Amino acid sequence: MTQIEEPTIEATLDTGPLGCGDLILMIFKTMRSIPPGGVLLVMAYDDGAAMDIPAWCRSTGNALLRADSTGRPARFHIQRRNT
Amino acid sequence: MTKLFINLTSGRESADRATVAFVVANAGLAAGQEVVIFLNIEAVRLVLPGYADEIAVAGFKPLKELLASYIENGGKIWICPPCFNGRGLDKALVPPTAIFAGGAAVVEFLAQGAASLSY
Repeated sequence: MTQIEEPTIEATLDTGPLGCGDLILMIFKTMRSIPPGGVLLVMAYDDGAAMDIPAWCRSTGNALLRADSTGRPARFHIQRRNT
Repeated sequence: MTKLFINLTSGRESADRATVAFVVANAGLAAGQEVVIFLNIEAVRLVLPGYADEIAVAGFKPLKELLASYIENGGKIWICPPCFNGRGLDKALVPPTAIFAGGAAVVEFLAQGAASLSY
């Protein structure tokens, strides 16, 4: 069986009750403190996060390494783009 | 397929806006467009069971019928999560035909070239 390597997490962000644009803005601000290639773990409680965070990653070129929206908080591993 | 984004902010308090938004949305589907209606502010109530049943405007089909037709033809409904939660509404009542989606999903859809209308 292949072992899936855990991404090294540079920082963890608990977004609390934030949703919609506020949630994304907080991720955006936090990501600026992460070095290129570093991984941010986002813990989100907003029901729209499962749509919004992947959309933000696609829009900005940051890689969504893992997304688990089955529980609360939902967990997203986002790798900052290199440039 | 081209895209049409319809921003709807009104519920019962402006039956005309809610109705016409779905009329245009259905026209978009009939024209082969990928259509998203983004329910925000008071419009989030439209997904609750029975809420749309009392909305009918002269000259148009009742909103209940327009909504059913929209879903039947593949229209998508996005609900603004803070608008919904801020009104103390019950998430358990949201039908599976609607999903929660916020600003980032909206921006991505628009950036993909969607034309937009707001009611």
